Amino acid sequence: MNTSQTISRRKLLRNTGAVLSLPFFESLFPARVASAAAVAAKPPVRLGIFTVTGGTVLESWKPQEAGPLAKLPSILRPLEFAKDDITVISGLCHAGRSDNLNAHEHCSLLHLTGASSVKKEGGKLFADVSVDQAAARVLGKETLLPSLEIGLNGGEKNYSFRSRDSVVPYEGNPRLIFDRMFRGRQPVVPNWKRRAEAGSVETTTAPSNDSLDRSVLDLVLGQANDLRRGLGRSDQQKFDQYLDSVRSVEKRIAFIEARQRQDALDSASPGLSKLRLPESLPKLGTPIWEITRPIDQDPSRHADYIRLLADMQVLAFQTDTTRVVTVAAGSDESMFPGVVTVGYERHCHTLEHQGNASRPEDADPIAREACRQIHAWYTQLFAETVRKLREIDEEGSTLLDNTVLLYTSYMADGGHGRDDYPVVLAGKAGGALETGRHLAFDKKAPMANLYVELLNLFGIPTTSFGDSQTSRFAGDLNGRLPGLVSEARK
Amino acid sequence: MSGSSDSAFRWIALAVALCPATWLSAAEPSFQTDIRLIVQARCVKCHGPDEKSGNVNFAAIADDKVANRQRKLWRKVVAQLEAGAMPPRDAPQLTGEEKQRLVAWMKHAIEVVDCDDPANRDPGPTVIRRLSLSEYNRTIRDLMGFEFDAAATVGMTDDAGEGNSFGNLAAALEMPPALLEKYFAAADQILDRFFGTELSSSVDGRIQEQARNSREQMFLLKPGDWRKADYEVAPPTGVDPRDAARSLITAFVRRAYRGQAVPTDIERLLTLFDRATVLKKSYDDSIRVMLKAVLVSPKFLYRVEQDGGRSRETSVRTLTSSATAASDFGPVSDHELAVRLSYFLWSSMPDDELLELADRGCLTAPGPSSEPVKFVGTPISAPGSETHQGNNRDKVFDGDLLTNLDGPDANSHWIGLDLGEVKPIGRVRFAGRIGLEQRLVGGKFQASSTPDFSSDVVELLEVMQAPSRGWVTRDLDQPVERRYVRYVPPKNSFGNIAEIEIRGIGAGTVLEQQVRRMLADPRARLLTDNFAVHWLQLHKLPTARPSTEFFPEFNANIRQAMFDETTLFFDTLRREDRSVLELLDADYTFVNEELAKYYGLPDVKGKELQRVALKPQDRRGGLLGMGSVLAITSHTSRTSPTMRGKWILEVVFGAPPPPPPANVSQIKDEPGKKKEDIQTFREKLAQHAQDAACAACHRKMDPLGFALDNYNAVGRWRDKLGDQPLDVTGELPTGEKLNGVADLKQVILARKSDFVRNLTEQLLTYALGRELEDFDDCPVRQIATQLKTDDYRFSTLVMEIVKSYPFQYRK
Repeated sequence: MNTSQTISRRKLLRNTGAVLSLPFFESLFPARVASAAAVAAKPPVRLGIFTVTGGTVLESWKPQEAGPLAKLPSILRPLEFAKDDITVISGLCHAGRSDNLNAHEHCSLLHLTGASSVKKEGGKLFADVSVDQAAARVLGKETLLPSLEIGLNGGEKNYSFRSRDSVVPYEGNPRLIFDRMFRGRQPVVPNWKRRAEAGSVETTTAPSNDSLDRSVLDLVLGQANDLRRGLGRSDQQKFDQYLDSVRSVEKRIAFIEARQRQDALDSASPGLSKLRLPESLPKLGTPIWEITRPIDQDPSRHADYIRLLADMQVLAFQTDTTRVVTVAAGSDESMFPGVVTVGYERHCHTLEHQGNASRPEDADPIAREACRQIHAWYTQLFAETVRKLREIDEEGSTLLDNTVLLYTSYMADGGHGRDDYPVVLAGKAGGALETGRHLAFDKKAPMANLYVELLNLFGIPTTSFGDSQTSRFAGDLNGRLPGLVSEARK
Repeated sequence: MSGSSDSAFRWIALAVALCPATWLSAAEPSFQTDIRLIVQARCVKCHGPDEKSGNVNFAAIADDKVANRQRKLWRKVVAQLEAGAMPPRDAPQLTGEEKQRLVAWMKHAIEVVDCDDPANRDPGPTVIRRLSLSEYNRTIRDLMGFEFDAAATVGMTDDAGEGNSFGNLAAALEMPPALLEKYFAAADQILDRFFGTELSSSVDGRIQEQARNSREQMFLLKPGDWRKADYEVAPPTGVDPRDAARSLITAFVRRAYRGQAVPTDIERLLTLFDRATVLKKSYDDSIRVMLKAVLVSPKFLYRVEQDGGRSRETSVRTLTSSATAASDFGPVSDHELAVRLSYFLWSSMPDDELLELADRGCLTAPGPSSEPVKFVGTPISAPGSETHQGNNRDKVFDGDLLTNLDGPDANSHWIGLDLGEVKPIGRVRFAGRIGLEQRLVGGKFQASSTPDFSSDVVELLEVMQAPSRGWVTRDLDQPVERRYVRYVPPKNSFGNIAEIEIRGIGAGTVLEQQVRRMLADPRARLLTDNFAVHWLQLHKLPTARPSTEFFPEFNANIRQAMFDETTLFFDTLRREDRSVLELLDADYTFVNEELAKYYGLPDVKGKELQRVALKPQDRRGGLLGMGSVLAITSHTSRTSPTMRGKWILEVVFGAPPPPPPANVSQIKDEPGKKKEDIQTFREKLAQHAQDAACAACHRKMDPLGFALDNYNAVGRWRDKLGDQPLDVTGELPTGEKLNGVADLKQVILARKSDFVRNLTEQLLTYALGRELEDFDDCPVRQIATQLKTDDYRFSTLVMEIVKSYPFQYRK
């Protein structure tokens, strides 16, 4: 057996090499600067989504009056300090049909897609492109990662779709999330002022070809193309996923190189804000159940976990590693002793069914109160994130100013309801949002209209998204949410 | 397909049995004349060409023939009608008579399958499929020779989930970019382990030893070489590095690509080797880059069944059924069959024996096999050595070259096999302890007719010189007909033999022999881990709701013991080839001391699970008496008759009730109320079930669940509920009356054909990695019928699935 005293030189090299090397690759890749990696002149606008399970308890969430926000209802009260930075929107609904799905899956597939129909066939899920992925298609061109989807990818949390039939997995292990962002590079705050002054001075180096990993990719691509020719048409479509994924790995490698040089310049004169790196990450190789099981039983560890995910979101934005991050928080299967102080049932899903139905008059008041407490607890955690974003200075504006953070749930209520979702937007989206208001759509409006507005906010011209034009709630809104975006910005 | 004339006969017999003459008479209703009008009036508005609600369009059903094929659709419709969910309340309703006619006709259409209809001769779509997480882990293990956990190391997520309960449905296995990155990361980590360059402090010593062993084997190193060279491996002396690389990668790719390799694959990989050489990489780094390319190659990560398989032309399998398959269906090739088999039974790649048979085109050969088959037997050893040699004895037959017999003292004991009956022994295979092969010199293999080797002893062979590393195969000149075989170690030896295998000519076709061999192999345990655990929903046990707040005794140890009880029980059906009906009722189970006390069973000691015989007064036996099943179907603080009933309908019979309508409330517990106000839970549930929307399903589920109410939420027996007597009576919609678990078992056993059909459907779904379609009803019925004639034996179920049309054929 090998002993720890005698570590060979090769081994040492290999292990230190891991720190220096690029994500998942053994050796440095040639400089292949993507043309899209243009230099932003000022801090970019980011899209964050913080979505929880179990809907909400509407009477404790929805402000009574439309217009300027008065004292916030109890579930939203943790956000009181940031009242001027948030927009509460009510009346948004999903209307998409489902085929061969249970109610949770139905809600989860509609959640960020607003699809007009969702289904499962042969175990495979079909929805529509989701708002985060649609944004990432454009915003993602300029960052190391196009987007980040994090949280427990348990059972029914299929929120993000790259296309109608391509669901995006969520990463639940904080260690692997961190590695995905920072393996092979040091976290550094971009100096937006320097970047603006420097303009587009990035030099492009001609790609060199002397990397073995590059050759590995070429080889599997060649092999895959050969293989593809012999396949039937439907298999070819299925197999294209592999080819696309190989190409996207290739692309990422090119970005990393450009990004490393950018980072090198930034770290010479980094941005002003302080980086807060996560203090305790699980050890490498920790199986996911070791992380999830304590979370399901113990709310204080559950809170720590959600905080860690939210910190990753903040860190990703602050370091401009990606501009689109979705955090899927909470779990219907969790127990909530300590958070829930009424009754004796502690199982979240049972409480939702007993107390959170859309007909409050039928609900068990004790269970309903328990659900209210759980959602106030979620809001407390969300509010901490808002506070952190607000404390990060990006040379004259805060990170919160340059972010739109959507706080919502994949169901409207615990009875799988799809009417009147809880929606809060935190942040000013670089000044485009007039905050501090409650925007009420008393006659209902498609949730998808919000996604149309968001994409347009990010400079992605969009006239329709999901069922924004066809939903039975579409009315005469023409796919928009009038009054959301300040007139000056239109 | 071997025995196909036989099966064709069975098909016809089945079709006749299912088509009683009365049905063919003119008086019977037909879709066209009787059903269509009702459907048109009541359903087509939503389920027609315009709206196609729920993706159902009844208007597209043109004639009786098409209508009769829609069994999957009718099953859905019957469930909706019986649940009273359709038509919706705000739409015009069916009259009682209409509803009755619809349901009767549809039930009949579901039952009657015309297996001669060419539309029912369809192997289903062939889909290129990525290895599932579990398959990937197992394949890496068998290919590289060491354990690797991709979920823990690079965070791959389990493919099993809602709608893909076994995690192997081909259509659902995606390859998003984030996953491909993980395969790259995993390849690096696997190769770090293989080359011994990972941080060894974090790796189990046993795994390091496995890795070292496969490193030595792949590089043809002599034991000990790796120490001197400090992990530098070189081509064998006198061999050109490129030639050495070629033969190394050719052997590797043959296994890794599982028969999908073509010559250009090797050439491509060698160009990588050449590039590495140009870059002045060491020999092992140049090999490493080739191995990495293999581990991220589509031919490794995917199972592809492509036209042009080499044995398709030579295949002599033909269909003798009157129904001729459409021309675009054909039998799978030998290699494809080998891969289907190994992923079905082992969740892993074919082993060398399967690959070798497939290479020679023998796997699909019809007629009796002339391949020496492995004889399965019971380990025997010197009298008195059974106990103190303990587990060591089994290690000689576990297929693991890294474990061996290590007797308690020198000259200790012989070890052998009881073949069960006299067998023609023609081949002996064995392996020495790695690195200590010379210890076998002087050892002898003998056969005898008596278990004590006192008479009729035949010397089979003597080990004259140190055998080479790994398996050694010796063929005997003449088959020796004996029942007992043993290995007698040389003098002053501790045994030190790693593996023994006895082979000879046996009954059945090659395919049948291979299925039996594979089922007996420890790797077939994966049928339990990947199939049974998900079928029985045991994966929910770690997060089962009952909490220690209410049930302090339901601790982690007990949960684990319950899980082990059920999985060991299922695996025993496989290992001992028992009747699958034992799942419904059995006179034995497996418990350790803690679980025995928990169940109130006497006389069990120790932490290991042991088989115990059950008497009726023990009130256990079969799945319904197992704590695992009872706990996953309970709430935090109480039992849930509804969840238990649903589990029975869904898991046992494969007929889950539709999900409850949205916005139904649950039963409320009202702890604040005074005692005399409290209705019993049963009364509350009855009230709840009066709601018409709920009643149809609850009337089916609740009585089943109440019959189990003597088991509390965590599976312990009780006779009272607090100070109230328990009421475990109930009445099913059929009028059958139940009083407790014994009655329930009778009711279920009376429907054992439904259970058997469901189990067949479940295991066929798992074997094919796709959802079943209408045309699969024929094979399902055929398999279930054969299972019944064969006393419901587990091996028959597996064998018939392997022989079934969809398993043997593809588009």
